[in-house]
Amino acid sequence: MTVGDVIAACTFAAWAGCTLLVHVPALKLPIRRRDVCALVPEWNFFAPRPAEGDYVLLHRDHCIDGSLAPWRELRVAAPRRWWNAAWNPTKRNRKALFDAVTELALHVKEEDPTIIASIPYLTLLNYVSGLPRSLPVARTQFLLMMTAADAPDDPPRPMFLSSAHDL
Amino acid sequence: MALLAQAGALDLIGSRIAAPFSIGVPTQEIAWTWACRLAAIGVAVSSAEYLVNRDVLRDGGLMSWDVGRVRSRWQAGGPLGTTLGAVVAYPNVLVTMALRLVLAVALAVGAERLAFSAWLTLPTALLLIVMPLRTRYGHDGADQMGAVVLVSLSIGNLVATPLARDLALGFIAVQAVLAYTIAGLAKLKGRGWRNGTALIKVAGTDIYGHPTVGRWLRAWPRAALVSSWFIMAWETCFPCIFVIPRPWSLAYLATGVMFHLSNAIVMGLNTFLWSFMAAYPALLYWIDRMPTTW
Repeated sequence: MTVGDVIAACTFAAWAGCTLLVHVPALKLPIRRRDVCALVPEWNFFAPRPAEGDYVLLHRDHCIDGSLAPWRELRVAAPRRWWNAAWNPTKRNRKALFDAVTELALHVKEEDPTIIASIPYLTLLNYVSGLPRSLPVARTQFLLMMTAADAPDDPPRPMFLSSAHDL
Repeated sequence: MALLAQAGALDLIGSRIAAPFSIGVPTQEIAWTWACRLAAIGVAVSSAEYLVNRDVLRDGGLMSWDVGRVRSRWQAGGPLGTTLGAVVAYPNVLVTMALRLVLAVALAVGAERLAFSAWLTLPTALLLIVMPLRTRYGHDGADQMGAVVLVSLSIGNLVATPLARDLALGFIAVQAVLAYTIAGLAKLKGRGWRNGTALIKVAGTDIYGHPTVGRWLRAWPRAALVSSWFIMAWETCFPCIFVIPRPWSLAYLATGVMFHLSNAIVMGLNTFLWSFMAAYPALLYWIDRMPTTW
């Protein structure tokens, strides 16, 4: 057994240990803070509670003359097609929106007073602010809604309304 | 003589029966090469998808580096952040993805010896794990398993001893076992999975569902219940592949291939198929090295 073998064995053992420990709720956050490259996987796919609906992102512009533009729904990804089984480029957009909203929901739950400086809030605001516009606008804001997967005919439920921000 | 002849005939029959069961017993070289090729296919597909769907990587996109870098002080400024920005900021990230694509294609379809070169596997692995540094959003379990496989192979290639390669394959196998078992146990904790409604809900979403399958499961909740329990039982009992007879292990893994194929079709999880299949050569390699012999 060489020194390299010992180092490899220790690395794999530590990595496997962290993979187990990250599933302990009390240890999840400390490990996640240090695991900047996301090398420690979390394997609880879709469990214990999977996605129960889809997040819908809308935005509204405040015009320079003080009037409000109507709410516009933003489609972050193309509708699913049969070839997405092999080639699915826009799945990242859906997942990024899902991740951002899931993290934002934690800030909402904790009633975080600094929510507007949080990464998920800034991500969504940055996205709606960067949308192409034909007319100059003064401010913009976003609204998150959720559809219920088991009741597709029900209207989406509002989840979060942002403040209006200068553009 | 007659008895010996009979014994010889029995041996012959035995070897003919055993022959199909010995299919898929990989040597270390074969397991290593195929783990690398399959993981590389997943990375190649994912890199090409980023290049086509580049809007998501722009400064105004949902995976923006401009926002992602604010998460920690060292990313926001300083020499480390500046260096990282040179690799992952838009539009440089497109060059990074193009390079990752070229390396992954070389590993996927190139000569077998390339899988044993740290000069190829390590840069591919590094370009894979650099993306979560850009932003934490948009990544999935396929990226994680791809990183597990390619980083492990890179460590094995750096040390370059048979034992280190055995350890790397063993670690990949352990991660696959943990992936399925933890997912199964976590589902067992969820009431929705136990009564089948979770599967109906997932199938009804845009993000992971399928309109036809969603409607069908809503109409046939009993099918959702049976499918839920099949998935939970299959995932939770995954470690048994190391103790059941080899033909059953192969059947168990074949079910896994079908599971990922159906997830690709129904849920659009296309890269999961490649990155999880990349762990199967390591599983097959270690199944044959378990003390239990059947």
